[in-house]
Formats: sequence, C-alpha cells, structure tokens
Amino acid sequence: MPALHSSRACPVTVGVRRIIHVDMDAFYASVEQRDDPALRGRPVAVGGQPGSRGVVAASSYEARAFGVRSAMPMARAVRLCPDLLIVRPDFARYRAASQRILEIFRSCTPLVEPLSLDEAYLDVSENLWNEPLATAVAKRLKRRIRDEIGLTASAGVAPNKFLAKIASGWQKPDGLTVISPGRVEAFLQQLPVDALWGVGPVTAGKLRKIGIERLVQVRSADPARLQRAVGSLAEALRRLAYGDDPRPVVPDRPYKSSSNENTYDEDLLATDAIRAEIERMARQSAAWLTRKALLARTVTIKVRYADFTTVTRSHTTATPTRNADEIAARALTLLERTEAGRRPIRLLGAGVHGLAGNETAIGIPGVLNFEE
Amino acid sequence: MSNFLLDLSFGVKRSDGYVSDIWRASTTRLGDFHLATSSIAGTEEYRFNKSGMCRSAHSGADAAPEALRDRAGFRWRRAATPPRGSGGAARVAWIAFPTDYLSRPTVADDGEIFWIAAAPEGGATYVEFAYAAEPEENIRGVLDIMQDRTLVRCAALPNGETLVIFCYHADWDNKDLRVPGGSIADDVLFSADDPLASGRPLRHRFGPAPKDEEAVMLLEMGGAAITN
Repeated sequence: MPALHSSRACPVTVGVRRIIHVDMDAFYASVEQRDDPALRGRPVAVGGQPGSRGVVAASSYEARAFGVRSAMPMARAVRLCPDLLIVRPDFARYRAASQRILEIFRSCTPLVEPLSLDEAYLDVSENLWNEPLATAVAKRLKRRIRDEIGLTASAGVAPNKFLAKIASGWQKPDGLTVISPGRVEAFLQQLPVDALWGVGPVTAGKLRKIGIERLVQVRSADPARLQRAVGSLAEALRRLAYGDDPRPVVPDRPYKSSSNENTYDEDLLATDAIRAEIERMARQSAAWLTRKALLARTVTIKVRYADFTTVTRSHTTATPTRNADEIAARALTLLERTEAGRRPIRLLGAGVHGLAGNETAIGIPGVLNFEE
Repeated sequence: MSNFLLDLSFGVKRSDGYVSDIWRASTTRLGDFHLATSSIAGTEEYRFNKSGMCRSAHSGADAAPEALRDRAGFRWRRAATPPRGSGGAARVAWIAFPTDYLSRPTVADDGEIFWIAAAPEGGATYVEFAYAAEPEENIRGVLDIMQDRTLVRCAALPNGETLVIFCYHADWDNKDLRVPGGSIADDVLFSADDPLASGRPLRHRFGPAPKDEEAVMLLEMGGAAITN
C-alpha cells in the first residue's frame, strides 16, 4: 500500500498522531512542598547532605532562581543559595504519587509509556475520553493532576514523541505547548542542536566543530562528515532534523540500559578499592539482567576525576550475555583504559546496554545513559 | 466539454456558520494545477505547472493601491512525484484553517461550494494537495487506513499522475496576533476571542516563500482592524 509523504523540507505525515508528553514540574521537590507546608514558597533541594558529597536530585523553582540544578553537588548548591532547605529523598512517596498520576493517564488511554517517575508519553489519537483533539486531553490531564494529586505538570502536544518532549519543556512550570503539524517547520528552525534528547554537551561540541549549531543545519551537512562526527547517531539526527520520528508510544517500554554509579565522600586513589567498586557495580548490573531475563552486548564504565573531568569507556561484543564474571571482567578491562589509580576519582559508574531478550536486540541511538 | 479536469470551490465551515475564504482548486486539461482565493484585498493564486515550475501571484482588487495590483510572487520548483509503486506522493501545498479564527460569512452561499467541516474548538482544519503516481483506487485505500484523513477530491492528470486533495483535523495553539499597519492602515488583530465582536471580517494568509522542492504552507486567519 502506498503512503503519502511530503516534499523534502516537510515532515513525513503518515496519519496525524496526537502525542502528549507530560513532565511533572520539579517532581520530587514539589511532592515535598505539597506534604510539608513549611517548605512551600521556599528554596528546597532534594538530595544528599553537602558534607557527604551529596548531589541535588531535584530542586524547587524557588531554588532554581538561585541557580540550583539537578545533579549539582549539594555543597555548590548551598553556596549558591545559603538558605537552601535540604530534604532527604523519599522515593516511596514519589512512587506513590507517580502511580496515581499514571492511573489518571490510563483512564484516558492505554497507550501510556512512562519514562521515569515524573514523565510519560501518551498517544491520544484515539482516547477513552472521546476528545477529538490532544490539546483538550492535555488540559484535562493537567487539571486532574492539580486537583487530585496537588501537583502541577507541563505538557507538550505534537504529532510525534520527539516534538512532544521538546514542547513540554518549552513553557515551565504548569505550561502547555502545542505544535500543530503546520508549525513543525517553524518550531524546528529555532532549535539548537543540543535541544535533542540524547545530544549532550560532548556530541553538541562535535557537531559545532563541523559547523552545525542548529538542528536544521543537519539537513545540509555532508553525510560522511556527519557520520565521522557522531557515528551511529547520524541517521537518527538526520530524520529528526526533518521532524520525522515514527517511534510509537509503547505502553510496556523495553529496558534500554541499566547502570549504577556512586559519588564518594572522599576521592578514591587506591587501585584495589577502585577495582572493587567497578566489579561490585558490574555484578549488580549482571544481577539486574538476570532478574529481567535480559542479555547485554555492551558494558560501559564511567569515571569522574576529582577535577570533574568525566570519561566513559565501553566494550561491545556480538554475542549478548548476562554472565556476571564476564561482565565484571570486561568492566575491569575497560578500567585499565582510564587513569584510575593515577588520578583521584570522585565518581565511578558501571552499566550495561545494547540489551536483548533471548532473541531480539533493542535499544535506540541517542538515549544512552553515558556519553563518550 | 469543460476546460478543467477538476474545478472545485471549497471552504471550511463551523457549525455556527463561521467560514474561511472560498478557495478554488482547478486543473486544466493540459495538467496545470491552480489554487486561488479571493478576498476584499484581491486574488491570491498559486500555479503548479505540469513542467514542475510553480509561481505565486497577487491580483489587487479594484480598490487596492496600484502597487498591490497584479504582482508576481515567488517562483520555485515543486518536489518530483515519486514513481509508481514507490508508495509515495509529493505534497505541494497545505493550508491550515484554525477553527477559532473563522469569520462571519459575508458572501452568499450559491450552493456550489464544497464545505469541509471545521475542527472542534481549539483545533485547525488542514487541507493538503499532493501529487501521486498511484491510481485513485490505491490512494483511496491508503486514506481508508489513515482514518483521520478524508479524501476531498482526486483528479487524474494527462501524464498519468493523480492530484489528491484531502483534509484532516489537528491541534492548534490559539494565540492573539497583532499585525501593525504602520502609518498607512489600522493594525489588524487576529484573536480567537474576537473582543470587538467584529466577526473577523479581514481574512489573511501567512506563510513563508517556498523554496525548490518545498510545499506551499499557508495559515489562513480572520481578524479585525483596530484603531491605533
């Protein structure tokens, strides 16, 4: 059967899907402020204590006004905002709130794809509320989350997942951004290349080196040059530069990776201690694979030195495995390609990706936890 | 015998009677496709010649300033039609009609207009024009699968291609737009709320100049003049 497609500079339009990406606003911090009136209207950071090298897991908008951001060392956050109220994370409460939010989503459509506790995609092209347009659905979802859960969310409405996700971050907090099919091109024209999910600072730097600042410039980039710059991400980037993202909303999203990492109270320098940590985390990943009945082709480690320089190393084999001894040995071999033991280390991580069930590989370029 | 293989007047209409401008889509026996609309400001026309070359033009109404009469617009080359069996079609134009910016009708309906039902409040109706090398029955098969799309009309062209016109409803983001008139005219306010209860008598089209292989993308909205 033929499918209608568009001319060169317009997105492929095989049926107009109605996708919503919902992103809870400062989720962990908002749950804390909801449950403790003393925290409301004040700068709050959820995370570890600054004395124990804790990092910020989430910050309230009041704290963000001071520059406090997720993943920032708590000690730095406190320097930026001396009145910062630090709250230990309570994931049981966050999970409970997340479950109630998912119940609201599923009352509208079974096509809900959670990405984490605080964000999800919904395909509402057909929905149980019989709303013909996604904008009306998004407004109802936001209203119910506010009324029933006491939290605010931002939503993006678009014809595909890629655009919906960027749209949800366009106006925060409590925002709603709609990208109509006819506005896709205008929206794409204003996107910097690092607005893309999966394009971190390192990849963005590589793209800038070949003269690509904005996403649409990928369209006219020399294919070979682009391939050399970003490798396997090139084809996905080219598609996204045209706003083309045919990925469906998958209710039971397959796992794409698993990783563990730890920031240490004191820098690690002793090789034995570093190797022990890497081996422990690699074996944790192998145990996770066993629990999920999955296999992995790629083992990755991450090392952050005391000066915050971060490197990752990965190793891929044709045959996937969940064998703990093999995964640990590969992780330790990767460690030898770093300066571990010669430079003090503040963070270590190990993980697996390139996952497969017993027959099919899964995994999408650009959504890896680690960046080379 | 008619000089046209297709001659369709169409518009978008809301259940309360509010409408778009009336558009005319026609194909000559030679295979040229014309898309045009008239308003109080004159006629806007897009010609897609069988050679693949396209151009836009504006013909000013009698009352229009001389500078606005009979202006040639842009020239570009449309995307090539994908070969038969490739499973594709080339979009050459699309028009978005946001529902909350339709206008109180000012022209009597002569019964010859094909009315497309407007999207619900907060949405937009899209009308798209595409060339396919597939026969009409294949195109109908595709549109049957894509349940959100409605075939408006097909026209078989002399070169074996098919011109396809279809429509669908999509989301829209209602935002007020004020176009400054400078020193020569009043500003025009495009507002979903229509605060002046004007019925939005001034209908305008917005869109970038198409480049080679790009489709014409137009947004049609109704507005009202406001005193500066």
